Amino acid sequence: MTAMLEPNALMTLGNVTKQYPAVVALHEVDLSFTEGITGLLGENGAGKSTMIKILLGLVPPTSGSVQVLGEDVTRNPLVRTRLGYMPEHDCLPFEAPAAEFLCHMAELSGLPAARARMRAADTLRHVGLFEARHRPMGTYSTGMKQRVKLAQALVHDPDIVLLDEPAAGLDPAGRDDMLGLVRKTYREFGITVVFSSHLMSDVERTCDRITVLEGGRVAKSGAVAEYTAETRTLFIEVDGNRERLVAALKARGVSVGVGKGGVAVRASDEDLSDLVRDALVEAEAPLRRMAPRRRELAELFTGVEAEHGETGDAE
Amino acid sequence: MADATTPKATGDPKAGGVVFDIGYQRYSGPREGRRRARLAVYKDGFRKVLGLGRGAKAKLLPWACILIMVGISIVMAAMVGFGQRTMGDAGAELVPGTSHYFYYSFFGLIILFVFAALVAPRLLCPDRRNGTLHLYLVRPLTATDYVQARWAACLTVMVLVAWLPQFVLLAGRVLGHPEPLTYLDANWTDIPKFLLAGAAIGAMVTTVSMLASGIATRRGYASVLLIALFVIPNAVTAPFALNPELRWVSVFSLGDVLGETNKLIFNGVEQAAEAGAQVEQPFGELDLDTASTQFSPSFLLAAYFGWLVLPGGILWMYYRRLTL
Repeated sequence: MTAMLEPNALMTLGNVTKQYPAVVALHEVDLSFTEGITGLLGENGAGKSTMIKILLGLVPPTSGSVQVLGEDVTRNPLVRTRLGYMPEHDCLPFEAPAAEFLCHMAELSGLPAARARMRAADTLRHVGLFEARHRPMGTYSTGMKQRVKLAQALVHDPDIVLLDEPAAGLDPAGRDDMLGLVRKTYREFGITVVFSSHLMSDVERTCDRITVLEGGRVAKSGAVAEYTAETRTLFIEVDGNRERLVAALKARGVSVGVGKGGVAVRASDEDLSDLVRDALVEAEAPLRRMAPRRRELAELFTGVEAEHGETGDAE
Repeated sequence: MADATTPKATGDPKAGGVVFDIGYQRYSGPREGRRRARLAVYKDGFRKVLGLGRGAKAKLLPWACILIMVGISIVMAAMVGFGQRTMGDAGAELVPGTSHYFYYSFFGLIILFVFAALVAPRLLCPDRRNGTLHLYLVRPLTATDYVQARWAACLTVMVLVAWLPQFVLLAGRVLGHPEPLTYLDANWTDIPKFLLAGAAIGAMVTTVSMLASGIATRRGYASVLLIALFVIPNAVTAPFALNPELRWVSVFSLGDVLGETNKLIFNGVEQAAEAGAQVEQPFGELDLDTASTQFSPSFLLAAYFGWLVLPGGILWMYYRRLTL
């Protein structure tokens, strides 16, 4: 396990263990959350939701300390005026219009009634629901409900927002929209986001940092860029003569994999680019694109660099 | 971040206005913490109970109950007024069951309980069932704050609904009297009595109905549970109450405890101390407007507060331990 405490942390878990009667949900977790978008990644039962509940002060840790914005959240519920939370499950009263509901949520976070009304309208505009704000939420689509759930987490302008599977149950277009809103929440609104998901693609597209939980322990934590760094594999796309190119590369002792849409080559040789150039000339293959392949977050779990080769997703 | 959408023609008088999107604005106003949060839960609860801000369907049942209660008090006031106008004070006394006391001991109590069974579940069941409770408790609000604020909202409505028909009845009795001020001077003590009795009945009905609503997952179940709580113990304890040795069993009947508390408040401690004298009379001979209590005041108060504290405590503990 890696100890990941940072001096400029907004939220810190210090050696936190959460023991339920039948299971240890979190085991001696040391972790800090800094400004930005942090992805909390793990399979079901890994401890993501328990961690979020502990950070919100909803459940106390069995042992260890929790600091949120410099306060002990279990002893000072006022810290929650600076936190937002979007649960994974349904949580919206279907008969209430979104504007009224958000206004109520803002008041619950301590905003005076008049300011709460203004914030509710503003927030609904930012999540794209301004036109539908007076409709009962029971008439909303799944995507609209997810937007309201995000809006209620933002309506009181928190410093940190914790999102539990925000794109769950959405179709691809809805997922793109929701992940766009999550990015916007930090990049335009300036609100730090902790974003739990079991989908690596969502985390990869959205987050600056990642924390991987496995069986209640922190398996990995760091910047997404560290995990998606360039590899020694080159990915080449050509407009024709791909088979001749593969043969030419193999003749030069280069390890070749034919993957979806292109050819992946790997060599320890420093002159790989020269070898590829010569092979392209020999095969008379028009080059469309050549770029170093980046690792994928999925490899965090498999521990193996994904192949674009014969054993991979070859056409 | 300012972004303006402007019409192309700057000098065109027909050009529309300029719409500025000033982007996301951080909130820098006051944050009033738990006090505001509790007030918000209270206000929301008050509106939910009466169906305010909702469609006609949500308003139908609560307002129908209120109208029935007010309607009954209007009929009672009209009967008293007619008797007073035609035959004087003696005429008013000839009309039985039209007193402030009797209103609570019969019509008022039953309809108030039905009202509670219909509306109290709106305060707790949907929040738990829809998962909205999570959103409350991730704000600067504890489970205790939430339950207290909901209870207070329900209590406010119950007490107002209990008092409203009494004020209508009072107005009828005063205005129906040939000399209203004389009537008021002679009967002003009815006012604190019905206020106190209304508050006492409202508090217990609220607490019991909130417990049923807190335990049941669906509003319908909570309503049925409440009606059962009112009817079944009453039916079970009624035979025991006929035996003076076993009369204490009536403390398990919510209706009996409320009825007796009402008697205690209207008839005073002195009459209540003479417990037992009149209850052994056949019901037909019982004076509907001045009956004494079956229990000693201290026993009755203990029973009353037991019904208040025990359900309230269970509800509070239940929400404190609720796992989200």
